[in-house]
Amino acid sequence: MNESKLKTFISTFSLPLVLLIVIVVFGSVSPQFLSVSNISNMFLGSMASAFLAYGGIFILVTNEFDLSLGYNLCLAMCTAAFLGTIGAPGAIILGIPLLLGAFYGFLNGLIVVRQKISSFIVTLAIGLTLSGIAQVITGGGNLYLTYPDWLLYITRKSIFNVGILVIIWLVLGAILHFFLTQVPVGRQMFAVGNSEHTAFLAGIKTAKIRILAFTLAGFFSALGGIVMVGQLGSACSSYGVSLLLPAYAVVFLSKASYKPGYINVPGVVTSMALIILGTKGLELIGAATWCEYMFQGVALMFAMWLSAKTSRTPIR
Amino acid sequence: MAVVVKNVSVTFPGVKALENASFTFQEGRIHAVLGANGSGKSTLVKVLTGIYHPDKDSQTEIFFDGHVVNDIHSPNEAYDLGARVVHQESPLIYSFSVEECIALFKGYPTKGVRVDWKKVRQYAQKLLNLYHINISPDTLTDNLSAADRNMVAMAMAMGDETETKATRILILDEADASIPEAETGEFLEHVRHVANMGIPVLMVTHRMKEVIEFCDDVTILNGGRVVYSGLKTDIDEDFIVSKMIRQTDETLHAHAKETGHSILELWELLERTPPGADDKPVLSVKNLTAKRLNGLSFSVKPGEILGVIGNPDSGVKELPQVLGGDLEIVSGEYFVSGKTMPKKLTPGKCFKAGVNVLPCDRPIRGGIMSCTLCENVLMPTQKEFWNKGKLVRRTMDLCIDIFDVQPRDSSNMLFGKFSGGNQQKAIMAKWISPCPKVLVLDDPTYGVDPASRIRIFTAMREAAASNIALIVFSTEPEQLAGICSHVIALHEGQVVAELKESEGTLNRNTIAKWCYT
Repeated sequence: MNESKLKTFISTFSLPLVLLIVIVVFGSVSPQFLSVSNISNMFLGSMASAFLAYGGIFILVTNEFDLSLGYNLCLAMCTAAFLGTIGAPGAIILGIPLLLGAFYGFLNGLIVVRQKISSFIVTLAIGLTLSGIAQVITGGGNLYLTYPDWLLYITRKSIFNVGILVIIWLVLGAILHFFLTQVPVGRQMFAVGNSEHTAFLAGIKTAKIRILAFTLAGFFSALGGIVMVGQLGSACSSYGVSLLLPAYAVVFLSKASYKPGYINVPGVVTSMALIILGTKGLELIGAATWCEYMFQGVALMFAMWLSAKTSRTPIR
Repeated sequence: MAVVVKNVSVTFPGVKALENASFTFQEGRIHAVLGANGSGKSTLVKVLTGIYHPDKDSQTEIFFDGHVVNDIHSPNEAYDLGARVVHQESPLIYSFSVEECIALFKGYPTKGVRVDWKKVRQYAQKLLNLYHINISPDTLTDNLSAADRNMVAMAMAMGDETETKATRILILDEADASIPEAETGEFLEHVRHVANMGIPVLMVTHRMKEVIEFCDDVTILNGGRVVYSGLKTDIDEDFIVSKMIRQTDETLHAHAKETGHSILELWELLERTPPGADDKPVLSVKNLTAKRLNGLSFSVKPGEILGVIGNPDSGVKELPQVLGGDLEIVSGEYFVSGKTMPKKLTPGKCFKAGVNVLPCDRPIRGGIMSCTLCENVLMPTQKEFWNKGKLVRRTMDLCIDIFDVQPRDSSNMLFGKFSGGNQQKAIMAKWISPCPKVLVLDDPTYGVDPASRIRIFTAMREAAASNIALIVFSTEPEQLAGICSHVIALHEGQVVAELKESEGTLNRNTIAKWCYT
């Protein structure tokens, strides 16, 4: 009896346990590693990935794939910076890129669902188009954003040594968690991702749910873009694209813990922490850059293995 | 109130799915609708659920509780009229709990924005209690048996006491098909419970035993027409089977027009030697266990045409796939020409051993629609034709002529553009031209026009005359009486009978009995 309780405990908390190991190992090498401000700074440096991960949650829960999120984030950055150069008010700088990002997501969803074309191709096509637009807006160079002050403040400053942006990210995570576990539409997303046909038979409006998922993913990616341009103060058309796949890896890795086999937000937060601390920790001890990629790759393989082990084959 | 259907006719291009059929579903009674494949059973269900529509010129009338309609336009209208359906596949999401599946189906009760999990649990528990289903609401769907899943699906379809009042008819569309025979009793008791609430139950099933034990009224369809309608107590199994048998297939004994060429010529061109005659079996299986097969043993000799029959759950669907290396063998032995076949079997290995399978489900497994006729026919032996344009042309010309593929001169036409019958003839060419030792045919005449059928049967006889062993499976099993010398009957994954032409036990009636019971 005790053995199976132990097994359940390990499988539920596998990610935090590994995280703990990472913290202990790197913390013993360098005590400053564990300071709140240092951890917060490490997170602040990875906010683009963090927001892309949230976007990725909707996509992976509904069992789709979206290659446009990185480009979406980049275009939102460039749009915001561009609006800054023409002197638009702060609310516009925040609002327009968000609306557009959601719209691009909506477009993805519409084409994938109505035209029944594979999401892989549609989102790739849209993504490349977005990248093209970004290049036009920036003219191939950098655009700089120096206002609004409140945006710069939020994205760069800390309260009690914790980055405000990190707090916002965590609060958003709590809301997402609530949405996926307590709100009917969120539950329906899981149903659709599990078996679209069965969900359809059960009377769920699967088309609307899927389009919504793409739209929300676009929204969060654009949000990520806005916070990045606030943080960096500049935008260029090549930023952010390479961050997408690692973001998906983090979402996928969430299946390894808390609710094994299912994507869950606490798992995303923990695995994000694991990737960030693990990568930066390796940097700290002077490991070569390839170690970081290895680390991410191995982490993802671990997640897949665990996911396969804990997934149940349906009784047919 | 009874649900009455009068004079329903549904015609598809070339086929009369239902012809002036009338039914009365009395309240409180379980009414079985029986018939062979293509008899019109599922068409009836689809008409009642608003998916198919009666012909415009038919005098169809459907009576629901005082309303008369000529057509049910959509599933929503069917629901509003009071039709509740349970299909073979239950709408339960794996990895969700039973209570949440019910909530997904009915709509989540909410407290503001969030789900009211308490109410979800309460409703689920109420529903399970109402139908006497002994499962706790937080059980995961994965952990339910097939019978449990379908009982929950039925409970979901019917709803709680207030919702049940709106039900005018419960339709079970082969809902028992996914439940193992041993567990159906439990499911059917629940069905009886529903009927006792005064609701008419329409049960489409292929399981004779269940009809005899549980149903009250029986209607038998054959070729879209009602051939019997009355009380269960007035009839017995033999009567039912005799009514279900299709008309004799004229094509079986017709002879194909003589072509200028024969299969032997084809083999000569491709330098293949037909097998020699032998009294020893060329293929045999002993105690074969796989999905739905529980210790199957049989053998077939060169030149023999063996038929395999049984009801849909007996393993007849799985056996051809196992023989062809497409389905995993769990245990048992599989011999070809005296050699044991490897445990990890693939279609490629079977092909090498001389066992060719003509699969069912033509668009997915028989041919590749977007490749040309030539690419399809020569696919198994592609390597031999590399860079040999002349050989390709001569082979294709012979194949098209021998198997009468129309239109001629069409080697480079896309496979998908040929008619079903011509596709099937081409697939016969594909698997006969390599000159196998054993040819397994899974439903060779499905969706095939009469003229093409004649050609296919002729080709089968020619192959057998050249000592190829044939094993035939068919969804129109009566046709096997005209072409096979032996037929084995399967039940629950084992061979339970052998019908031999020589002993006079091989005829349409006995075959029908084994397939429909």
